[in-house]
Amino acid sequence: MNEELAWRAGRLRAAMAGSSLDGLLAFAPGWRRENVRYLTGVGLRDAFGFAYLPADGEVQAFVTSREDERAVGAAGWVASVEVVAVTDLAPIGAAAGRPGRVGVAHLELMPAAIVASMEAALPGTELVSATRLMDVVRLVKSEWELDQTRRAGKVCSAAWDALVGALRPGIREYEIVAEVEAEIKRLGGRDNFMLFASGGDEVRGMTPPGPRRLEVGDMVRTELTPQLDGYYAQICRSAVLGPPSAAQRASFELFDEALQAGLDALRAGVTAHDVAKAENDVFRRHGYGEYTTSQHTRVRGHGHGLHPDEIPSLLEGEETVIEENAVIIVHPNTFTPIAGYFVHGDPVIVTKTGHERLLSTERALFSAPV
Amino acid sequence: MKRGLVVLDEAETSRRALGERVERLQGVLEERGVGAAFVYGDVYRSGDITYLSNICIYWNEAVLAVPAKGSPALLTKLSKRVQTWMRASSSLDDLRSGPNLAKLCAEWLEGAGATGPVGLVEGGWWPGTLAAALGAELTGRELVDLGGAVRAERERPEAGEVALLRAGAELSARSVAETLDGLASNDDRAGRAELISRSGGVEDVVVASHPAGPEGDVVEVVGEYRGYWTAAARVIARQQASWSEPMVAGYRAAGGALRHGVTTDGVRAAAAGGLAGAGVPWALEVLHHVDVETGGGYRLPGKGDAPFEAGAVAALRLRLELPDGSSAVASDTFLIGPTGAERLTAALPEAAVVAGS
Repeated sequence: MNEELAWRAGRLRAAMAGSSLDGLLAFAPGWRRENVRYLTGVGLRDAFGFAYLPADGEVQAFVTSREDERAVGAAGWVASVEVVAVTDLAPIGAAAGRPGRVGVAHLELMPAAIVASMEAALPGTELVSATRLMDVVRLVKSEWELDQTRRAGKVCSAAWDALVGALRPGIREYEIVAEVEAEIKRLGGRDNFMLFASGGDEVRGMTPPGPRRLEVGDMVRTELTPQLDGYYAQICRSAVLGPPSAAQRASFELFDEALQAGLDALRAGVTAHDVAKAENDVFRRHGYGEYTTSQHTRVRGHGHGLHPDEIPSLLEGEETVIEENAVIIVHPNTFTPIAGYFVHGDPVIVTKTGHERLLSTERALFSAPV
Repeated sequence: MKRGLVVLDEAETSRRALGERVERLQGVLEERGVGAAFVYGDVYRSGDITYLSNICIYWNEAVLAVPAKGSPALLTKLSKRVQTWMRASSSLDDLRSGPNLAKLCAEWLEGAGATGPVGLVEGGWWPGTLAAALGAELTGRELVDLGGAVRAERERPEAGEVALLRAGAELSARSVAETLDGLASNDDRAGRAELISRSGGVEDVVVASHPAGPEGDVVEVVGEYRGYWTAAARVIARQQASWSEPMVAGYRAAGGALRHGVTTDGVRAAAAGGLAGAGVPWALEVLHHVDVETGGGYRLPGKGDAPFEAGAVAALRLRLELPDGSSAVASDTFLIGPTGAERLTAALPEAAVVAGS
């Protein structure tokens, strides 16, 4: 077992002991592969994959094609990898022995047919969700993971530059995204989560891009989240095509103050609530408190790592303690009547006394020349 | 991830056509005496829901609720704040958001007044905990598995759908064809392919560009255009490899075998002769366009080797396992005909392995 995997397995086993688990099965459906990657070091191609960590012993991977088997084998993280059919998971049962209680990460997303196969492969074993368990363990990153995240942060900054560079009157929303995606891929990124909106005060949220053409005076809002070697980093910024209006500048000042308040509150040991409250207090102080609710926004930031949206969600009332070496984006994004929906956020590594910035991008309201 | 152009263009897919698809599913419900159907989808696999409504589940999960009579509704974990956008890009008026899909389903069912058994489309692929929670919410109602009731329709694309598959395949092919530069880096090729696909209006695309042994590289594009998935890939040769000519011969034979009635095993048998001299293991897959989205991972049990029918659109993919651990991949998308198949990715050179330009 390599040093990185040993560190991860040690943290997972401590959590497993606390939950009386004899084994931990990471399940990867197509859109949530982060836990299997955490144990194998590999981003799978297939629709399903598994990795099993016993309370004592080596990690074993189970995949559904030779292609994924070769990828996992080449990475060299796990002791063994085997091809299985999801309709017959007996090899997982054989590898696990007869555990009394197994935690399954992403059990909530496991198709009924695969649950039935699991139950047949592990008769008498209690299967319980371990999704939260793995989320909590992955919240704290290793030094190696932090290095990957710092590299992803550099791609983030470059991708934002590409976006600003693409802005011009008449360009369509999806063409802007295409320019950004191309830059991310050119820099070695393998994926990206991105939402987008353009227009004026009427914009109330972000979605995938549409065919709308940019006009002078439009504000473009985006959160883009490139992934490099498995690790995501997110940036939130807004930019105006042409000179910003007084309202757009006023909006930026409000959101920048909220972002700074959130960052100032962030250090190891505080809760997600503490950071969200610091951000929201700025809105309340300026008379915009009503725009910090779920009617207008989702969260005030969140963790990221092997998944673009990890725990904790920065929300008032969310008492998850943020530990040292967590990676968090603070983003007070929301709608206000000042200039419509506004996005502004920075990802950071949490330290004992504060945070380390991941981006070189200026915290400003950007303006693209026309 | 789905971050490309999402649009409902009435010239391509009319609301009437979407309504007729829903009516065909309602016909199945009537035949089986089922009061309502639920179709589950998530950001990874949402083809059935897109087919019935043009909705794009760009994140998270959703259920499309289809009553035996009346209009469908989308029940989703996506926020209320994006419902205006979802209405504008789909045929749906009734959208309901919430964190608990089972509860949303139960509430919708009560409001819809649908009686009789409740059907789950491809029930085996529903998340087990969601299916169980729905069962608990609907105590006393019979839950039945409707199997591939939507898939069966999608496997016989209408003319308008073939037109979209053709446009998507042309875009996938062009994204590969314009990256066959023997001197470019794989990252540059991936960036170029991404730019072409996304500028062309794909909703989603997966681009892979990687070495194929010391002799070449691979560019592979799997793209979604207006909800329809197509695939294209070629090996770019820098120098002659021992596996190159057998790969070309085997791949050509595989493409030549595609026709009405052929099975994937039949295509593999056709390719085997040409590939005999490759000296490396190989794998060949033929996926109905419905299954390209998930790489075939969600095919229904026992359907993996069903014969292809004329009118179907399928992606052919041949992969050679090279000694250094890398792979050589070729892929195209075909419209299956009675006696052969039309290569919809004809913007690519026919040979599986091409010399870098």
